[in-house]
Amino acid sequence: MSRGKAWALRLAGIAVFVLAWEIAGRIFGDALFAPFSAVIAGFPATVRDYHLFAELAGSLRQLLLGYLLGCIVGIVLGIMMGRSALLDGLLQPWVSMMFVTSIASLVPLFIITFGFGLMFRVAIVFMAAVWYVLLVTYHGARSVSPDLLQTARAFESSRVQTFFKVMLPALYPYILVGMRIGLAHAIRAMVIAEMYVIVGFGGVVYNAGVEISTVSLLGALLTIMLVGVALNEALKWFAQRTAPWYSERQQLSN
Amino acid sequence: MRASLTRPLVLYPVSIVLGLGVWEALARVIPKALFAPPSAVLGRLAAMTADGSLPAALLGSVQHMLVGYLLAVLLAIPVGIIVGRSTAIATAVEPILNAVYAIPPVAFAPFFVIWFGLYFEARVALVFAMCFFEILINVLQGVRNIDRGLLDAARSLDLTGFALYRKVVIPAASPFIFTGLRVGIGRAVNAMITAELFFSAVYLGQMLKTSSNAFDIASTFAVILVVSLFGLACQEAMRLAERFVIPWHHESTA
Amino acid sequence: MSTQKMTRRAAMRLIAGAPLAAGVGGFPAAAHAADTVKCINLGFVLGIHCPPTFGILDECPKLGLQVEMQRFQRMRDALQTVSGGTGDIGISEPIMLLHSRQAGNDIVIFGNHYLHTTLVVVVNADFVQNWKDLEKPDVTVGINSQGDITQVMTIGGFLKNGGDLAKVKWADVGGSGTRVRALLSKRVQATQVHFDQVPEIQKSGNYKVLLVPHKEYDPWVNEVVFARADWLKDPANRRKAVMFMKGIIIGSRKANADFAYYRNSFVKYATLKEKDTMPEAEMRAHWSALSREIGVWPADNGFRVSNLEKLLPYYRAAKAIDDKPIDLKAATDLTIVAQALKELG
Repeated sequence: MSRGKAWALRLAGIAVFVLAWEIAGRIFGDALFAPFSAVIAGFPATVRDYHLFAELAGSLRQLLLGYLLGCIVGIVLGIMMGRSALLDGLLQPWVSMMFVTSIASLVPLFIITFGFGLMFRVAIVFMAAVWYVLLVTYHGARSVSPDLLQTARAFESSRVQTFFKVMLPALYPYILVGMRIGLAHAIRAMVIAEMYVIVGFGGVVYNAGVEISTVSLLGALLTIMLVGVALNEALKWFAQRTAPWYSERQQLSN
Repeated sequence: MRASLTRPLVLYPVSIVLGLGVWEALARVIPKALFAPPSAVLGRLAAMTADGSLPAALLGSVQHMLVGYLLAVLLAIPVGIIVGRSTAIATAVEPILNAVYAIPPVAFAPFFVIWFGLYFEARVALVFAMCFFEILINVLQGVRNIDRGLLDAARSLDLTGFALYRKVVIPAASPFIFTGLRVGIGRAVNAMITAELFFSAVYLGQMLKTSSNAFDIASTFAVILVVSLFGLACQEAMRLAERFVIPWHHESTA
Repeated sequence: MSTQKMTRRAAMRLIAGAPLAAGVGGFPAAAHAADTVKCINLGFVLGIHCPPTFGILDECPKLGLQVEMQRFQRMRDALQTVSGGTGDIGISEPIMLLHSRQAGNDIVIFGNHYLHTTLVVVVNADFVQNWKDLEKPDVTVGINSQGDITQVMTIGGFLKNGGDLAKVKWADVGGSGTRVRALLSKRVQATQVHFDQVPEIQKSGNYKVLLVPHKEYDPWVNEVVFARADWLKDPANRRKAVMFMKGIIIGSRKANADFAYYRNSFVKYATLKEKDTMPEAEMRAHWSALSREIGVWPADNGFRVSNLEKLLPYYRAAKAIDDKPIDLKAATDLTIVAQALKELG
């Protein structure tokens, strides 16, 4: 697909979304669900009054730290659990249980342990992202075809070679999905944790939510949406750079 | 590694016992106002099960969880397949998908109150919103991940339309679909409680709030434990289902 | 009763390893540990909070006390943070504090943050004309969460005007922004909002104010200052507590006397978007209402055990506290405010 066509399609999708927002907003009104036009019109004021971008920058720094940590641990553990029945049996119940625990319930305990500063926010983001990366990678590690592995063994490649040349490429799509889902949860956890202690960007969301008019709140949420898209694009770009052969294999190329 | 030692049946209990040990140790150091030892929690668990309050609450909570989850599955799988197969739609939809996915449900809850009210519909909607994307993203990836060669081969065999989907697309995407189902049900269990905490508190959520308000940490933990175990059980059920439905999908270990 | 005390650093040493415990965390290291205190406070700052906040953050340093303040969205988290040792002095609502005392949490209330509240009960006049109408089957009352000040405040008014509490339906809605939206979208027909939100609400339909707390209660206690009992036993900490209350009282007195002082504190600390653009006439009207009409910043802090005693029946009716007896004398410490007043004259 040509780049031009791709962009046209993206814009079309966005346009549909914005239109739906505008219509819904007009039906509900500012207090209940401000229309897109009102949110945009009020955005400069929102940015100014809540120091939106300054708070965002600070929050993103902590987000990236916690997220990267979560990815590394999640990928490593996921592969290890996927390939070792012992580790799998030992860790699986705890992973599955941690996975369904809501971040919100962990916040008070984390505050006691880590205070309210950098460590706390990094820890929350880590806890939110790691399970998704881990679980999806785990499933990927378990589904590497035994035929592939046997073939590699037949060619007398060492375990290390097998890992890098056979396993990792096979795991690649799973790791990508895991990282993508983990990223979304990392962003969400960041906002949740910050809403609790009313700092950073989450604090902005909280304070904006107190207002009767939803213009500021939706402005803040719109910002999160844009951040989500931007970070996802960054992730895709990074994926492209590290494994360009992958997109050729896919039906769709970006 | 001897197979008998690594069977889940053996390892899970070992893992849980080890975990309980750590928990008990922690409880000796952390103040009573915030934490409770396993003995107290298991005691409360037994009491709440015996008097029927816990089973009844679980049964109540499960209702909106199941409805929300099933709706999400029924929508995410077909949508994921259609979007995944069409480059055009995927490109158009992706920015919006990533954008909305980045927003935490916490921030959405006020709007859900307006759109869906405070009771069953709102809870179902929140459960849906909290697991839909995870399932969708996995299905999408599964469909996009299908080997081009496979599709070419299918085309050369004149497989089109419904037969193509039934014989090639869905089976090829199944591993990812099941990953999505498993991650999704974990999210749904999490959402089950979140929904009850956000809207009018009922069933398990109400038990959580009441014991939390009374600073009865043991009971609070007991409810959280039940939810975690329930989440574990659901995910194991998904794994079993996968083994049944796609037995050809080798999940091998080194 | 737990005699275990866990400072944040001890916890971290245990869980995260010694290296991490050094110099990491939310509060910056203080040069003189003797004159700093960590205060755990609640979420947003309205007009009513500004003078006491100014007193804590700006007047206390002049007295020799540096206050590091951390705000929390949920009162429960604020309480847990103080109980767990991460914070020293907390500001929260009295119902939850008393309830936690009943559960064995040894905290002590030693002063008011301010008196009364700016919350009022607003109803959709199409559905509710008087208190009795709250019993109607199609009427739901929105509150923040079961057993908290929003519910108790409403229950008090309802019971005073005669009614069957069992017939009233309650819905946990959450923060005031969400409660307003629930009211405007007709999901609830009555709820509690801040008095300055009322004009905006009334623009959207037929809404009226049913309860103004300072008229119904004498007085209504909304936010109090507390600390762990064992923290307060240390004479150095008592000194800090006295300075803390002096700061609040100075801020209160000055705000009562001088509108400019109030305006200054408002512009500096309020978390309202309109604070920079609010016309002076509107600000003055708020100040006048808060200071003169309602009297939210009493010159003597207005901290009396009898105030809580008078409210206990409503707490019990709302099942916000357990049926067990509660010893208010043990739950409160009047000496801190007494000392502060003595020193201030």
